[in-house]
Amino acid sequence: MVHSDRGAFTVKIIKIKDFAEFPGPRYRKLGPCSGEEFRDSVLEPAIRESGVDIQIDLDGAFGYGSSFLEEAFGGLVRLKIINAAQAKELSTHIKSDDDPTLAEEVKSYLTDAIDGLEQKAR
Amino acid sequence: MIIEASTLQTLDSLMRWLVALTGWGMALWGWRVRGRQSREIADHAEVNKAIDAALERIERLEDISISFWKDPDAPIVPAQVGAAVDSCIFYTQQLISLHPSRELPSTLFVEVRKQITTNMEHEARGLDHQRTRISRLVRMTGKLKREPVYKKHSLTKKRNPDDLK
Repeated sequence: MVHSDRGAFTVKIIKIKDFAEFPGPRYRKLGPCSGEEFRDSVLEPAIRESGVDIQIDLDGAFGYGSSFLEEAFGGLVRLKIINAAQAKELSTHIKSDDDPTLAEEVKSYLTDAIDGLEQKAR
Repeated sequence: MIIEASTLQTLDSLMRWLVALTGWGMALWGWRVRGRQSREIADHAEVNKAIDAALERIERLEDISISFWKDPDAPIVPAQVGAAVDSCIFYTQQLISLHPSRELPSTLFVEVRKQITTNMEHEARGLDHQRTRISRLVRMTGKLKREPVYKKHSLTKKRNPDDLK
């Protein structure tokens, strides 16, 4: 994890490549470096410590599967680690210069998870 | 008489210079036009080559993902499928670096990756289980191949409206 100064704030930067160069499946039971493991061991502790004032850097890792991304980010909303407003803010803190489609996909999972929760609440 | 002869000589000399300079000017203009055309053709050929390479990657992605989902015994591991999607995006970005006015079809790539890689580690494979997914992914890769980013340049003088952007 890296810290970077953004104005007066210190922003925590989470680089996925530090967790896994080749991200794995959705669940822990399916293999190493899963989305579930990334959410529970990296994302959740960082959010508990700093809120959503973190930047998530997707660059440097290769071969993302949609399940990994959905479980890691959509799971944050489903498990109520973050609320809808925080999810919206987090979706603007995703960095993915190597493959811009990844950031877009993560945003879609956060939005879908919010919609899912709202539908359940009705 | 002497003055007239001298005037004629001067005029003759001027005409010769004029013809010579016009000739040089036209040659220079032709050379520049030809150079510009050659550069354009070379650029277009390079872009067309990059389009071919990107389309080939999409074809490969389509083949590998259909085999993966259709045949439970296909010797393909999920990482190969994920890498094939990455490869398509990488080659498309290479194409865009040659022709920056072209846009990466991000939304469609997101849909293609979702369709191909969602739950690929644990969902049942085989035509009976994945018929709908296979149909969707074939339609999506077909749509992807028709995106404007993969439209080829004509190498003849007839201009593509996109070139003027």
